[in-house]
Amino acid sequence: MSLQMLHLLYAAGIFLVLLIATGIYSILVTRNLIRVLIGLEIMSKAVTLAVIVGGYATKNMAFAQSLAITFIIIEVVVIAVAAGLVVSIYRQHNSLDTATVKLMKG
Amino acid sequence: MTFTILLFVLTFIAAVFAVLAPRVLYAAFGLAVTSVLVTILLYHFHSPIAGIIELSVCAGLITVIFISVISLVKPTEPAQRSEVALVHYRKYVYLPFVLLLIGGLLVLAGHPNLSISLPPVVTGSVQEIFWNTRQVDLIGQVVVLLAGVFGIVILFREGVTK
Repeated sequence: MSLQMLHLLYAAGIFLVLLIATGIYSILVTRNLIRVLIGLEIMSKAVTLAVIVGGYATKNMAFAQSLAITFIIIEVVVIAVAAGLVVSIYRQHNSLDTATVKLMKG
Repeated sequence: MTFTILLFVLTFIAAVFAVLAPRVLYAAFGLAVTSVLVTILLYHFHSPIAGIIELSVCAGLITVIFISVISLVKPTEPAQRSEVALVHYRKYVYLPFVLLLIGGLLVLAGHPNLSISLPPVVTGSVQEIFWNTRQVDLIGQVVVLLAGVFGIVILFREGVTK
């Protein structure tokens, strides 16, 4: 692996870890269910980029792209179902507070 | 290299804006901008197919989903907005410190030892790998998509919670 590629991987790694940290922090401190989804989405973007950067560094671009496509599809399904759950919780409790989730049976 | 770093920095700033925006609608727009920047990064890393899917699905569809959800819930009263924004910002006081700490630790750690053997290169185009090499994954993907569609139909159905 060339030195320039190593520098690129290193810089990308730092930014991707910071993106994931931002998403985790957002999920931990917020009490709004929509913001939880936004935090999850930010982490997903970091992972997509990590897959592509890894493929670029190892010269495995075609495989990395196919994995990224699968990941994006799963991501959109997760977000869509989670959005449906958020609307459902809002209809039940008239609130988007994460604390209301604790009130559910089960 | 400089352009790549600039793109990463812009993506990070857009993501932080999406997290910090006091109104959820602005946060959704911030997320859409993050998706657009991620798309540019994907193009930059020679991944045009993943890039176009990221642009259409993440910047398009997911933003529409977020705006639909926001429009379905009751907005904050204008009088309460400043108070809500203050409480919101107070929660994120520690975010810069956390990010500086993690970033500083990563910079201090330096380059990782990358003398590991690289995985074998999977030959073929994206289409060949997607439809031929990863056929089992494709079945799982279709099942997840169908589960998502049925989940959305059930969850968004009117009167299901009554």
